[in-house]
Parts: sequence; structure tokens; C-alpha cells
Amino acid sequence: MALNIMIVDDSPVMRSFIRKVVGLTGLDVGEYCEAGDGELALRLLRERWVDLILTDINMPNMNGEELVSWLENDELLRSIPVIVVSTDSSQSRVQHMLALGAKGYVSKPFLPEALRDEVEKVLSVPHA
Amino acid sequence: MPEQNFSQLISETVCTVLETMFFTVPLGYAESKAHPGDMEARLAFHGHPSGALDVCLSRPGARMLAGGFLGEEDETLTDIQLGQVTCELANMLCGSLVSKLEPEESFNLDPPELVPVRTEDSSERESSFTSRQSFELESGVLTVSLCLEAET
Repeated sequence: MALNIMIVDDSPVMRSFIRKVVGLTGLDVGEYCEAGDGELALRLLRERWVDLILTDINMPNMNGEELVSWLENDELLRSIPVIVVSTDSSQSRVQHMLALGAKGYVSKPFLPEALRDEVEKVLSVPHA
Repeated sequence: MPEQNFSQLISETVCTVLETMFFTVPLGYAESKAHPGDMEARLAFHGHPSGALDVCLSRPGARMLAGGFLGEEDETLTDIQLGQVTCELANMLCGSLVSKLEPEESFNLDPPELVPVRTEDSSERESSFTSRQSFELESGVLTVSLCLEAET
């Protein structure tokens, strides 16, 4: 079944890059949905269902930490797996985000394979 | 950390980021000289250590990197896209560099901002940075400057 994927990043060019990379992974993607911060992401999630969220951490209004915490405390939305895509590769940050409820973490810069592997691990889908 | 190690760290980080995300590699070192029309992005980072990173791309360099990053023809790119890609490059270089400086530490990055290009005498610029390196690209030049605040 095709996956609907939400990309949350304040950089339009990074959202575009991630979209391109996801396209290269061979995953069956239905629709993409994009948001420039956590607040907009939550608004969009009230209107449509997504199967996976890829989010940055450093964003205005509502950052990635706040978004993950918010999702984790929402009965309905907590089942959506979140993968953090961030330039911060420190172990403390990775552990913190996973503890908040993120299911995966990819550090920028990343190879397309790294993102694909993390998505497959999180969704438990077989290799494309 | 000695100056030479900062230079090496910058070189390694630039190579990794360009190869992984922009599908190119630096051809070698270049003379650092900013020109009007270049794109310059800066961001501060806070943690241990704190400081700022500055990325200056010549116009042809910005066009080439943006084309590789976005998978679009160089000619179709707008100035807005060039600026956004320059900011994103600064963001990734800064995140990677600081993570290598202190792998166990968490840090916060300010959003990268485009700033007016400083074309003053390079020795004057040099003195305000901990380390600074310029790289020759397939098209154009990339200059990365790292400034670390003294720990109190």
C-alpha cells in the first residue's frame, strides 16, 4: 500500500531534497505533505492522515522536540511513526529525541540509503 | 584544538557534506576573496563550545551546488533558491562541525541567515576567525569560516 509521508522542515529546499531522496529509495509513496514548522504540521494532521513523519528539530514556532512530544501525548496521532532528520548528530540529542517518542533518527548529511534503511526499519517493511 | 586541526576538520566536513548532499567534491584549496554578488550565510551555535559559522559562495558556486542539491538545471534556479541552498549548506556544515568538535555535547543552532558579503581586506577578516578555508569547486569558490567564542 502506498505511504503518505509528511516532511516537516523550515527550509523549503531541504523539504524538496528529502522528497527527492525518498523518491530514490523505491518506497511506494502515495502523497507528500509538507510543513514549515511543528504548528503547521499539527494543523495539517487534523485534516489528513499520514503514515510517516520526517521532521527537523530546529524550526520556528514549534520545533521538532515540541512536535514529537505533542504527538506522543495525542491519543490518535501517537501511532504515526516519526523519524528525526537533523544536523545534530550528538548522542545526547539522538537519545533525547528517541526518549520523547521518535522512532528513528537520521543525521544530516545522509546518503539516500541511510534514509531508506531508517524508513524501512521504522515501518518494518522489507527491502524495496 | 590547534589551528591546523580546525583546518583539517573543516576540510573533512566540507568534503563529506558536498559529496553526500550535493553530489560533488572540492577540487582543491582556493584563494579566499569575496566579490559583490557572492552569497554569504551565517549562523551561530550555542553549547560547549559556542560560536558562529560563515559560508560564502561565489555566484557560480552557489548555482552549481543548488543545481546538484535540488536536481534542477542551473539556469532555472532563482536567487531565492540560491540563498536557501546557501543557508542549508551553512546549517549542515555547522551541525557536522560542531558534532565533531564535541560528540557528546548537545548544542543549539540559530537559523542560518543571509548576510551582506564582506569584501574588505582578507587579512582583516582573517583576524576575527578561529579558522577559515576556501575551496575550489567545479564552478566557483566556497569559503568556510569558523569562529569559536572563548569559554568563560
